[in-house]
Amino acid sequence: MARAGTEPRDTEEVEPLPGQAGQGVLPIYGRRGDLLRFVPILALVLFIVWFGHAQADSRKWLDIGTEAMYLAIAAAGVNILLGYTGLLSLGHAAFFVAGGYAGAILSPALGLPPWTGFVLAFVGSAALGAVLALMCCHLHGFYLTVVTFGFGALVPAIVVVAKDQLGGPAGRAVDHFVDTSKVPGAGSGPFSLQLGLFYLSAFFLLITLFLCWNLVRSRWGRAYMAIRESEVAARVSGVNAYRYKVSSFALSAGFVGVAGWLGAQRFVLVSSQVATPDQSFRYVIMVVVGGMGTIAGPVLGAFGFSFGFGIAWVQNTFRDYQGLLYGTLGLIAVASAPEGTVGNLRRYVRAYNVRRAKRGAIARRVPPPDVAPELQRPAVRERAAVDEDGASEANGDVLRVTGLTKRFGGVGALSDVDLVVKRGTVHALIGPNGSGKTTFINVVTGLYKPTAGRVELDGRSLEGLAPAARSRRGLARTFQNLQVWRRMTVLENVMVGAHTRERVGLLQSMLRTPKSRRVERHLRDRAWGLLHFVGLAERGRDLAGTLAFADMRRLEVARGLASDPELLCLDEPAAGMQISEIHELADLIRQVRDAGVTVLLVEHHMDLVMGLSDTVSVLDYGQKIAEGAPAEVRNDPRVVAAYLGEESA
Amino acid sequence: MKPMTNGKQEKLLKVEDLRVFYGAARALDGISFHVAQGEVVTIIGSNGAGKSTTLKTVSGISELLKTVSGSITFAGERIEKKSSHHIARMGMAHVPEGRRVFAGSTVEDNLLLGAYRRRRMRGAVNDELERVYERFRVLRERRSQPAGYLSGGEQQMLAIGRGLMASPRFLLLDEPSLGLAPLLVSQVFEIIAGLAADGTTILLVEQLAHQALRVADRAYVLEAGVISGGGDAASMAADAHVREAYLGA
Amino acid sequence: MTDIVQILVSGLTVGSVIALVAFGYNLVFASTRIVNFAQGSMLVVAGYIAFAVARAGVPIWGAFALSIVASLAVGVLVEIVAIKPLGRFDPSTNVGWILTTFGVGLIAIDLIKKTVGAEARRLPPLADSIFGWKVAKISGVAITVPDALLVVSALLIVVGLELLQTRTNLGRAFRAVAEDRQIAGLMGINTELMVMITFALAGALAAIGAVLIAPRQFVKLDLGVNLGLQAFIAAVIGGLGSTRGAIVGGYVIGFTTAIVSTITSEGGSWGPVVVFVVFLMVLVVRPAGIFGSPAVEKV
Repeated sequence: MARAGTEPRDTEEVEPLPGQAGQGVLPIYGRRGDLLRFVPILALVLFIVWFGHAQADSRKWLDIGTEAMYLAIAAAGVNILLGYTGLLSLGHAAFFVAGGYAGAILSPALGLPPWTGFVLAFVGSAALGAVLALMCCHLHGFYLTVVTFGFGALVPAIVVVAKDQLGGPAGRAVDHFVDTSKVPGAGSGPFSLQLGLFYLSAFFLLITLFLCWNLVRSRWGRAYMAIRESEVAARVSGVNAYRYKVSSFALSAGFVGVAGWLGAQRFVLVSSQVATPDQSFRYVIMVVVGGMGTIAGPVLGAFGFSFGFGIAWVQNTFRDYQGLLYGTLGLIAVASAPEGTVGNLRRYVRAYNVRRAKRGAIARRVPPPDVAPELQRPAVRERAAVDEDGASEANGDVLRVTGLTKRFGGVGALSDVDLVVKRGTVHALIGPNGSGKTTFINVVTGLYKPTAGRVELDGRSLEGLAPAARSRRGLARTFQNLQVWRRMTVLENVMVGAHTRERVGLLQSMLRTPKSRRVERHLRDRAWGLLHFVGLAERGRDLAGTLAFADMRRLEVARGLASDPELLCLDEPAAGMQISEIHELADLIRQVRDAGVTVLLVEHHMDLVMGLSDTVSVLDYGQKIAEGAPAEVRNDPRVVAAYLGEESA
Repeated sequence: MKPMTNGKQEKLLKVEDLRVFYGAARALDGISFHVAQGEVVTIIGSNGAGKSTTLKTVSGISELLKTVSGSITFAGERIEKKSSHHIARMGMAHVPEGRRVFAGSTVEDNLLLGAYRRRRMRGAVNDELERVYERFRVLRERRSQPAGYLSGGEQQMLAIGRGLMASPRFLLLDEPSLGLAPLLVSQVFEIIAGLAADGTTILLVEQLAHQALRVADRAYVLEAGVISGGGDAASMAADAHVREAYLGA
Repeated sequence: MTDIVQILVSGLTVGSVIALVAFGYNLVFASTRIVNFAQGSMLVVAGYIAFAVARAGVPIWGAFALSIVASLAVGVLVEIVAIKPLGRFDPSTNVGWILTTFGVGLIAIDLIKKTVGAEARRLPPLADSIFGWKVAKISGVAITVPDALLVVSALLIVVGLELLQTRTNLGRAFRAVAEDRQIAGLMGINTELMVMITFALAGALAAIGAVLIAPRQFVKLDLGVNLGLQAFIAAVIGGLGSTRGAIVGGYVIGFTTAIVSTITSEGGSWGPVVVFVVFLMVLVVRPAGIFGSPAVEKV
């Protein structure tokens, strides 16, 4: 849901481009801004306490309040998939139903007490979500959504068929429900059951929000967002996109399942009537209008729906015309996407803080933290002392490419290319447009499968390895057409670059265990260090999308360095840059080399190449036609002819 | 190469201080040039210099995040704010970079689409079709085949033929040599020379400087979004600066 | 034997009903790469317009014609509300149109509810009899004239649409716009106008469908949703973008449902399940559908 960009600015404080309200760590200036973060959750807790107290005697409002709570849980679940991972599902209502059934049928069947239902609901729905994910995560965009849509339509159809077990469309009674009058605070009034259920649902909502909050600020959450912003860049940085998408599906389904369990408790009934495409559509609208990719957004959206409908006027006008309401909201949703209400609110807060900063009321920027000097250079990993053939690779070739051939259909892009990149050098690969340079990098990094030939990194073959695995082995790259994750902060971009350097479990991340906090600290320190190295530390907390063009290139370099690579492949880093920026880039590349990282530079800019490289290889029509020191290559008649054409007809 | 014409020729295309940004990336930083009626002008430069951006901006192709400032005047009218179909109907034909034929449609359909702006003049369109088939025999042979099955060189001929079908007053050629083997490159440039001899006004953007300078009357050198030099083609061919622009100082 | 004939007749007629709506999806997708989720609603709107006109005394053929004209406008309206606001976007990455077309579909249905009321309508058939022949009977299975008209019309429309897409300048332009919008513009094609025309034609197709379907079943509000869903599945199974695919997809669903009804005692309930399973299988194995061209997977 992109919009056209605005004119680039040269002023120091750059507003985020439209459509880029902060997701991820919220960059608000000033210390007070950090406290601002806790206002929404406090407001929520206060609201819950007040509501329970004020509405204890209103059955109607208690029901609405409960619905608001569990719909918010469902919306939070959908938000993980849609807002954070960027996948649109129109079939999530099926998980709501599944959760209800799991709780209602499985828990008595397994002889477990009723309150365990929520665990079964979560697990059962998550499993179902994984099944759906396996069916569609290899598809992209529209087709993925279509499969979810079909899946979402299939589930109620199955329910209709399995009348005996599942009660058909009219549903079946939940005879195994939690006695919510025992919930603390439910009191002993006439509606203690409903009040108890309200508090129970609210409790689950708070837990959900806690888990989501931690998720978003963890390695997992960042991986999801990286997939959303640019899946290719995520894969190349070491994120196994397929696996993460499946986990995102499962997680989001699980939360929706718990919501369904709570819904079943409320109605004392499970039925598939809540699983129509309309309902799935409703979740999506809640999330989008509330604010995709934010924690508060789905809650706001769900509350708006539930409490909105509770208002008598709304109910009377729209009771029979829900389609009109949802349809219009759908149109509004797209118009406000992806920021939604919360995103727009954030924009105002940020603009407000910018004005305060201008007046000097608060500090312009929170300065970047100090980082230990040894972290301020790229780390060079310990190499395996011995390669597959038994020879020592300690000072040998980082990259060995033999006989590399790539054909697309009948067209040959690369023919039998041999290339050796020596450790600690800057090796340039040049050639006219269409000579196969980008294909070369794509094959080496694993985005294309070669037709023939071998690629060895550090003596070990990379055959059959996906880009993420190659990143783990020590291969990093930047992109000619910039695949920066714009709606994440600069710091987060680099932290994802280090994805393969640390590991932490999903549950640990969501619970924010000491181990996960340690991992976060390591990643954060590492990232700050590299930002200092490339000179972007001042912009660390800003959204990557607000960076100037040349700075985005630096960011990609920092991100690439974060994985402690053996070899950093730069794909036309000078494209689109001005002369002064190119000089700075050259300095940076020299520093990278001096730090011990080998560089493969694919470039058109001759001045950059000639002044910087130790070796230059030249491609033309997919073949290597020359190689050597820069001065030799420059004067080689074959190279001149390749670039400028034949001298005589 | 045609002999030098008197400088009082009507300027069919005039570009002044053109600046183009893609988001925050600067692609063209204030370039100015012109093409007179009947001339063949070429813009040469290494890749990434901004050559294709220039043509795409002149022909009005809209792209994501593109902002344009400056002026472009075609046949006396300002066109920098006009959409591409409007400009095409004014008589400008753009043969795009990388050919971009409609792979799912037949060769003949591609050609007929080229004549879309004159589609109601059935007779004239058919005549033009015959002329194109005469010039490019191989297209006649493959007229009912999907364009996606053609080889690179054949697709280039199709793209040029498609451009000609519009009977344009002004032909834009974007890197016709791209991805073609040397032999095909020579063939394509022969065709371009033929078009030039027929009096077609051409703006040719090309990476292969030598070939381009042989068919052109005048040339400009584009480096990193700025025009760093220009003059008549004959003197440019011997200019060391041109080589520096490609291979560094 | 009766069963087989029953399956044949049922499959063909139900399939044709679905195909008539699927053509609309197909036409829009073929030139814009968008699926118009409001297609089913457009059919219902057209049906109600035809009914209102017929009730005012206009003979059925006149009502038909007027409904088509009105539906052209409805199509344009849908485009203006749902598609235009999205601006210049790439349908393959930006899926906002899913929500907008879906939303417009929901709005349209409720607008009918508000203005005309929710009761089901029945339209008189276009033709009750041909040369005095009202109903044919084969092996005890009745085939009425409206049914026959349905099947024949669907086939004629396939031919007509294919001719449009392959032989006319408009059809060529549609294909160009779908394949490469930027280059289509270079040809002098006003791509935004083409999109609008496509939606108008989709509206007209919806009207044709409504009038042909109406005698068989009541035009009621959730007809759009049910039929729209089935037609969407048919279009995807057959291959979005292929007219042949739309009718083949329609027949696949028609025959599957007929077969399942005949062999199971539960009849109605298993039908949708089998259809959805087939749908999912096709999507997972060959997302482009039977006649669709596989999309190039971008790296």
